Amino acid sequence: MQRLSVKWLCLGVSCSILALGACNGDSDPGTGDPGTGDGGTTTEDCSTATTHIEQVVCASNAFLSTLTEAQKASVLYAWTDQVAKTYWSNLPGVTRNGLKWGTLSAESKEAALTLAALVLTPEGYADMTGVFAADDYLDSLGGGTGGDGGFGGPPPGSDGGFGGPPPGADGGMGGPPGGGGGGIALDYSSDNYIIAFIGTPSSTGSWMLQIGGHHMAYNVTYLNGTGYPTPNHIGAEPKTAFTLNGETYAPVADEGDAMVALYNSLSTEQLDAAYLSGTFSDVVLGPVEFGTGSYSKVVFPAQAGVLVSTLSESQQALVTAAIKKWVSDFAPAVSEPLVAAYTSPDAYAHTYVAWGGTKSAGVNVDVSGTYMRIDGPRVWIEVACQGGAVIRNQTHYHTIYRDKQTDYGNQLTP
Amino acid sequence: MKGWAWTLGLAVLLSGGAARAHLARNTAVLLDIGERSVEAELQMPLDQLALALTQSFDAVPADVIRERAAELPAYVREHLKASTPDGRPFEVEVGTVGVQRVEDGDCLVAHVTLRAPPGASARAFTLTDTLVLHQVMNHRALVSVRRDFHTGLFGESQEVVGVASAQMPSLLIDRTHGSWWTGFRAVFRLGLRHIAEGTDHLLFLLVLLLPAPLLAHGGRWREPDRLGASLARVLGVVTAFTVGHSLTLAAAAVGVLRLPSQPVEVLIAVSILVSAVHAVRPLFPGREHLVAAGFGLVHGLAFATVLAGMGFDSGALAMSILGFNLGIETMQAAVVLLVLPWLLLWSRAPGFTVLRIGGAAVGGAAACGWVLKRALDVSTPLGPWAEAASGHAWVGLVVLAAVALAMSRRGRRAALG
Repeated sequence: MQRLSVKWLCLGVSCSILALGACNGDSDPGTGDPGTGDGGTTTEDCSTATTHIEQVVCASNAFLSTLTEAQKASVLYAWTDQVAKTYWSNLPGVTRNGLKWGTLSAESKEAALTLAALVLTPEGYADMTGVFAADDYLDSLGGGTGGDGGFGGPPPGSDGGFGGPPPGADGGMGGPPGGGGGGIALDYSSDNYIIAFIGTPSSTGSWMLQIGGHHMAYNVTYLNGTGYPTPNHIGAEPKTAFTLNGETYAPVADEGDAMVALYNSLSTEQLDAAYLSGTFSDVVLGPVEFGTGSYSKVVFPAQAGVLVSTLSESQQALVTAAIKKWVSDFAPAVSEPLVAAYTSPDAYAHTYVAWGGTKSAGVNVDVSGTYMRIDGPRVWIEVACQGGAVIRNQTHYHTIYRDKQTDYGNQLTP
Repeated sequence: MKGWAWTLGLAVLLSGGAARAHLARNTAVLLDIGERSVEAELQMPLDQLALALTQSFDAVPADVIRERAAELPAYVREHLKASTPDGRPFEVEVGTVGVQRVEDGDCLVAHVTLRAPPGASARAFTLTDTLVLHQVMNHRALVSVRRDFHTGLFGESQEVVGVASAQMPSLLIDRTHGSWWTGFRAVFRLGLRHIAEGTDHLLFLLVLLLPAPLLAHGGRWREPDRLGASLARVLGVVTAFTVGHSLTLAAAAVGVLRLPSQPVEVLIAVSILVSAVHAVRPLFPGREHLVAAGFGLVHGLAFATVLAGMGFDSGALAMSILGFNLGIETMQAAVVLLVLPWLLLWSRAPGFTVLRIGGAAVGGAAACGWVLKRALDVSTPLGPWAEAASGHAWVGLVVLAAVALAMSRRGRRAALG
């Protein structure tokens, strides 16, 4: 009973805050001490906001209101900071923007997860928390402490060996190379994932939400209320299900399975025509623009493979299902127009599926170098299978989803 | 130095230094631009190169490279090309090729000379690099200019100019925006900065100047010398130091003289110690210029490390030596002109001994710190302390001037009274 009344109270509070927010675009920053972590009293119920963008802005402001002034200063970047927009990577240990999960109060963490749950669908949210868990899983296997044959283990709680510069400076490496086993110590932990805002969250302005870390980059740009979710990187080691603290996770398994289902449906002739020569030790368009603030290094290869429009109806349905595995990780308001654009007959007349790797092995995700991609006039999805960094006897996935027209909302152009 | 470290850090990051746990490390292509030719250093990650050569993820990179060592120069020759913007090919000569550890991973490092065809400049060309990325489709080669006299790049920082990929293996390198004048100014500034920031060089000079206004008698510093004689001595010391370091700077930059840097650094610290002792008790009165010339030879070797590697292009090298040396001289002259008047003034007033002994003690202590650090790697706070103090050199100069003026006035009043 009491719970319900609190909920109504929150609803009332958030409505009035929303009304205020509509006036000045800046909700009550809140004076709650984030150290106490007694969540619930300042968290607004943003699900009552009418549109996706209003909910997301509300939840963003609710998150920001849990932060200290110093934290707020380091989580917010100027919208004009093009370089900050490109600070994402598949790698552990690199310098990223914003605040690390491990530095957030319980209340802030909860507010950040609430925001993520609004930007992502339940599937996308499960992928995110699954990738967090995968890093803790690698850590539990001793990933950061010698599991990689030669990495000097960092002290617990260290920054993974990177005495990084402040974001905005060049992503330099501070630590001197260690002896013998290589210089960069890795520290796998969900505490290392970051959240950052480029620009001020608003339902009419331009801003970008970044949630990222090892094997994960959510870069969602909102322009006048419309969301653009790319570039989006997700990967996981292991690629199959794993159990941590009694919970089972398989963040990227369904994405991989959807691609495998598509390629398994192709005939020998189609597979032959879809085969790409060359070797793929990773995705082609990973974080190639890291720290450049420009599109200049994002060069898409000439289209190759088998045209989706030549595939049977059921095969095309598998292409659509695979595309949705990435795009529909984002809230329907963001993903639905994109899915429609990517899977229209017009788009499929210019969309190719292709694969690479050891030809004799076929599309086998357990073989290093197996590579799959969907390449349309806009959509670009790649999956690469590479040897594990910690779990050495298995491959793991690196995937990337880009939009050739609207990565970063097409806002990097100078 | 800081900028260099940042740039290197960035280059490492971009070249995938952090990616050791993963497969995709990138190639680095470092270019030294000359008038008629370009020297390229290629750093290819061993695992990616082995993958390109064998197409197998199971091969052991080091074994593959060892087995194929004989064919690697030809492989480099086949996959690296350059041509003038209108399509005339450069001559490609592959020099040394070998495995080296670059930051955190082993690389095959190849040195290649790209020579422009007759009549063409090497300052604008199309580079086509298909090494590794002819096979590994996600591979990248990050192309940077490391040395280019015309744009003031002398190897201490790198300018990323492009990236070669399987999709775009060719890129236009255009270095026509620089000029001799730009390069000359940059290398002149480098010389200025080298002295301004080189606490040890400055300290040697300053400590050597401390007893310059004095006359030595019977193993002790006595009364102030005549002004003309003092000035002549200072001029002699500074000129001798200049001659000394110019000789070795040129010799080392040309490549005639090569010495490991550690003993040179130790000797520089020793030179400060010797001049500090000399400031307390005259060790070599009247022969300061010879000592300055001798130690100048040592300091010049240290200067030359800045210009090392510019030796591929004689024109740029000559300009570098000239500009760098002029920068050093200018900064030296500025320091002498700022400090000397107060030394001369104070030397004719009471209390100069305090400055002479005190200055020598400070210089000697810093020198001891550096000797310990550089020769035995024993850390003391002395060297860092001197370097930190040098950041407040202007304050020191003002205090020196103020005290010198005060002492001089008191001395005159005492003489009158």
